[in-house]
Amino acid sequence: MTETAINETPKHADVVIVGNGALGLFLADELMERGMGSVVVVGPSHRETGASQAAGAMLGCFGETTTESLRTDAARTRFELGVNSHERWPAVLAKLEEYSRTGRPLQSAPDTHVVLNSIGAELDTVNFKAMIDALDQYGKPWEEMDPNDIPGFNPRLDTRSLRAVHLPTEGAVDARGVLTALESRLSDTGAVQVDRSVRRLLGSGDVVTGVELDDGHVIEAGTVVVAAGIHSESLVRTVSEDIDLIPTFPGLGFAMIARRSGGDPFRSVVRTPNRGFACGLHVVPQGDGLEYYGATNRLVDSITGVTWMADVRFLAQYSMQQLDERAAGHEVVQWLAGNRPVTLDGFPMIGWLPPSGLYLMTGTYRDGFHCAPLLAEHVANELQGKPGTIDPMFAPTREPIVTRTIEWSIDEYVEHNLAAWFETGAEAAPQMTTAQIAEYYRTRCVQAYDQLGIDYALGPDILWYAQGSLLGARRIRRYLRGRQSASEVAK
Amino acid sequence: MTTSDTSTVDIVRKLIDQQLNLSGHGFELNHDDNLWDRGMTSLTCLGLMLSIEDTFGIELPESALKESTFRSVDTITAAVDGALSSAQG
Repeated sequence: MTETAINETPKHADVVIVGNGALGLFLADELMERGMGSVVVVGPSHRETGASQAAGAMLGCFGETTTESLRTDAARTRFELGVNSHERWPAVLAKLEEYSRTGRPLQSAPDTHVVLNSIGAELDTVNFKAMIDALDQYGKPWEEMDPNDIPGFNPRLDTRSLRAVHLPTEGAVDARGVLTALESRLSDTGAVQVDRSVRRLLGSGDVVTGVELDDGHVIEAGTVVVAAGIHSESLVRTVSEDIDLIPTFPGLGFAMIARRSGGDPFRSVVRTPNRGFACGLHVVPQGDGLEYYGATNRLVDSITGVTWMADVRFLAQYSMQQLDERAAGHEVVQWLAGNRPVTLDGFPMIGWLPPSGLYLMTGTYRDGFHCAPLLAEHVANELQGKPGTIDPMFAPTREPIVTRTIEWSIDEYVEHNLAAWFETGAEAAPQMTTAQIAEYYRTRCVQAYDQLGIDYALGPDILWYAQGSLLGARRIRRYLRGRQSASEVAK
Repeated sequence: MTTSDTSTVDIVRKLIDQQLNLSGHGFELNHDDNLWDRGMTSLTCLGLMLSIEDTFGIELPESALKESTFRSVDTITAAVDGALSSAQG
């Protein structure tokens, strides 16, 4: 962003979008296309700790399928956000390609191979099957193939893949390239981009009137859209503590971009099913001999850009074992750390908030990038007073969405821990059976629910976090206990 | 509340015992015994933290939400007293 842009920071706008990640930029583009007045996007150009700048940006929805994806109506509605988003991307890429500044196509891979290897435990197997079932249910193309025929795929023998499925219509984009192209297109179409952070929202619990930047500059706005990822919740709180939001947690992810030093390059996304609290191991070709290796996921107390040594080891070791043993000699050219916006119930938060003039779009967890064009259309409609295009269930002030019982949650937690146990190479004494390891996790999980004293069933990632963080456990319990007592009073 | 020391310690001891059941096994707990050597785990610590906050009606500061705060009867009592006095101040 240029000095001129900073010097010309406007004092008024019809719409101020807080956040310059995928959600913010795609929304700005949609608003400009519809001619919805003056649009200002505020966000630091470095985007450090943001989710979008660290994204692998797989255009995947079926590759992400788990046994949970279609098990409940709520999860299915969420899943279909991804399916519908997928259809938007060819047009998006056609529109953005001319603004690309990377000298490479924005679509960095046309297709995906999902591999089933033995190291991810039973969770991999059931998610692999769920993926194939979902593909058939939605009539999408796939074919089983010999894992040895996947270009670039060259795992260690002891973690070799036994099955592989080719998804010919799920590829990936160069996330950082797409963000730059969007910025460039927005400059052309007259949206103002301000290379700053928003310190606070202005207004009251009744109405939001603008934003104050970190340098004290004020921009008045008819509408403020907060699309600031994991910063969103605290920003909304600057205007009112009383807004009843679903809590969000930073889902810290680590990935790296490496320059291939030899061997056959990957030509497609190659990934495992979603597994062990995270998104599965994946490699995404970036073009020019670069490959993106991702990704870890751990919920943390506060936004951070640090990388844990355990995460470096996890990613480096498993990439070499499970994807390509020659990766050991690749040159890491970039380390990426991003904080995904993870909601307590795992569903996005999209909708108007109680102070008039304030709209929230966040909570997209792993696929904000993929869903951004679709959500931009929806939010633009809502801003224009037209009917939205997605289900209203994602309203930010909802009750937490229920998709499981406590018993189910405990089973799921055990399953995820077993997957992580085997993937990390943890070893038990030879006479100790898998059932005994499972029993250990089950006992811990039951005890965690007893201690938390809550009756809402949490996902495995949130449960893992609550058990390791006193701050997180307190926050989760307070929120849920507050709702329990409120609903008891209502009775 | 000026000198709640005695009662605070007694309540802290009771809450620790609810989590670790030391008296049930005939253990005598010294005021500076390391609870992490007496069976405290991350989950019993979690329960202890929540029961302390509920019982005393306090919110421990974020900086106190760490293992060392829950090391012994002494350290817990100090944290509770700190939170009680800052709540009154």
